[in-house]
Amino acid sequence: MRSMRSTRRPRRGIRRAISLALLALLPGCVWRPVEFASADPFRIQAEYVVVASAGGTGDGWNLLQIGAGKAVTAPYAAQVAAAVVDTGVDPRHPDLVDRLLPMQDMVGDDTYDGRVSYKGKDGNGHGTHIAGIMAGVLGSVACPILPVKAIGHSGVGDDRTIARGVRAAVDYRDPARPGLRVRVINLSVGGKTSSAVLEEAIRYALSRDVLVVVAAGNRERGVDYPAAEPVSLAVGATTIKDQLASYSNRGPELAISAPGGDGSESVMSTWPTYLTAADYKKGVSAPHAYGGMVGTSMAAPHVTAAAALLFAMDNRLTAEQVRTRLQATADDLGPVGPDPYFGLGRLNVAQVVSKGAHDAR
Amino acid sequence: MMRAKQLVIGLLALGLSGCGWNPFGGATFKAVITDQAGVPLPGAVASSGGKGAIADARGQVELSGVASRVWIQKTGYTRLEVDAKTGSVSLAKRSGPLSIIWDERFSAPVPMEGIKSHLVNRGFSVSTLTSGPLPQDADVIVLACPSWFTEDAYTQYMRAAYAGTKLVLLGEWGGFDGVDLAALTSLSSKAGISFDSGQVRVYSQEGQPQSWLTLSGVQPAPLASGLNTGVTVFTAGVLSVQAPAQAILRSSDTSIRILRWDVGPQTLAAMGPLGSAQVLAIADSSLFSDQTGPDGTPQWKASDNARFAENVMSW
Repeated sequence: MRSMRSTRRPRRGIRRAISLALLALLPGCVWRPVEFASADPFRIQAEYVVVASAGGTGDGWNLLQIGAGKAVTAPYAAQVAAAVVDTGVDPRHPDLVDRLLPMQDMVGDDTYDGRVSYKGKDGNGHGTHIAGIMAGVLGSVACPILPVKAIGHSGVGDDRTIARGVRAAVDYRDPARPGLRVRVINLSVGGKTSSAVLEEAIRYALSRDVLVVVAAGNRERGVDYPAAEPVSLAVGATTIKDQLASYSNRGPELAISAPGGDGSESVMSTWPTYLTAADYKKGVSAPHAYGGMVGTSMAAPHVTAAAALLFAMDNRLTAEQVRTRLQATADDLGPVGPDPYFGLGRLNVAQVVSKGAHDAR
Repeated sequence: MMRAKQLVIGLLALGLSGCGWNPFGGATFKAVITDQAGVPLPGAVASSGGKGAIADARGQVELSGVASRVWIQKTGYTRLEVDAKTGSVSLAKRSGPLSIIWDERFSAPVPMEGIKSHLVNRGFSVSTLTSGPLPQDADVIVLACPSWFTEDAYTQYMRAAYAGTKLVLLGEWGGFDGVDLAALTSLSSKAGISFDSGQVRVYSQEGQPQSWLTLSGVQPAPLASGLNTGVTVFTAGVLSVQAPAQAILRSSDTSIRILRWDVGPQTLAAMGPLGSAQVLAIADSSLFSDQTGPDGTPQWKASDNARFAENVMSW
């Protein structure tokens, strides 16, 4: 088992060091930093996710917890796309290939160790995992997923490229499917400081009536950026016991929570069908196609997919209406009412697809 | 040069000392609106040049930047055009029932026959509009939960408001897919009211969010006339209010506004001047619907909802 690898800068706080050390004790886990490495002080910095290459039963506890799978009538499914602005998605994964739109590549050359090219592919695995969670929540509802590669195989990106990815998702049009539009974007990235360029991109999305769902971050502290921006829908993480995940960031910006797993049970999902840079680093010799991961990165796509379901059921809904519906139907956890740990509560897909009437009945 | 400066200052002084005349924005109209018996008419609207103000509980109204003529309007009274220098205005009550148009051209099929029948029994004239243009001679137009809207309809509504017709706009909670809150806001925003896409929530002692809220404290007094138990709203939305509009119904101190995470009293109903009349906005439509509430009672019959509807129409 490979020990914790960190690309952190020196002089991190003591709390973070403790947090990292504790999480590093989890079996089968390595750290994958999603870091906005830049000398520009205005760029947002790091968020970390735990990648568990083993662990997790694959019983779909996360989907059961949120009540996914309820049969719905979704007449607009073919016109409503959900975008994953991340490390890309494996374009040939058998569980995803039928619903993937052509990847929008903001990164270009993406070579690991000078010999393995991930150009046009997910060289990290993070984005493929997220897309798999979304596909799991969507189930038989055939909403397409638009992969937007804005972060390379290292899992380290910058705010400008991610912002370009957000705008590309909003502006995506398919001549062969003229009615198709991205209505919701998943952003499982973040850092400690705000980024004007990223906030502007999210505002641009909202101005086009596209909802942006953002992971709250995994530092046990205040909500990261851009999740903390008022324009974002910030998502925290819960465990298999429907409790707050210890790493999940907290604060009044938190809108809702969803399964993110923890050391005892990760969220299982798709993984690239080829060896990723992470696999090479860990010495994995055979592709595994599925894997478990833990983090608010995993929580956010549950909410993203639930939003896509609502748009697929009624594409007249606005992003604000969908946001209201998601929050209003969440199962209240923790202190009564909204709180800084779970927001309005844990996502309940069964409720959100059924409670849209005058009196939310 | 010195002489020229003195002349300019002198001219300005003359302007400022003019009775009620504002050199930067026209005159200020200040008057008391009463009926012919001298009883104040709170809720009367004074309007001029696209601006309006609503008379307070003593019938007093003040509107700055007016032209030389001001329109005075009160539901059920004959509209009057007066000189901006007038200090008191007496309106004559019109004979006959108040006419209400229930515009269902753009609404989802939410039955509201119960409240319409109730209003007819109380002496109102109620007609339902399902197609065709909007009549311009009604006293009140009710637009309940429009699910779509057109530019032409917007023009019809604004024309009606400028002709002195009161608009009653009923919204819904922000997650309801059958309401176009932007359409409602397009009509109410000139009065300072916007329908937000949130939801008001109050948690019970068991920690469960309540889908219905019974609220007292309706303001001003004429709208609260005859209310005993209060008004019950069901899974309501939220309004944002700024001058010249004012809130008329608010939720409790412990209520929460979803989306903004704002804890405290939330505005559920408001009014403001629009054109030559009032616009009255309520962030819920089901409170006047035939749908049953938690105890099986039609919602328009819950608490004092029916009486509140009467007050809203006649005030």
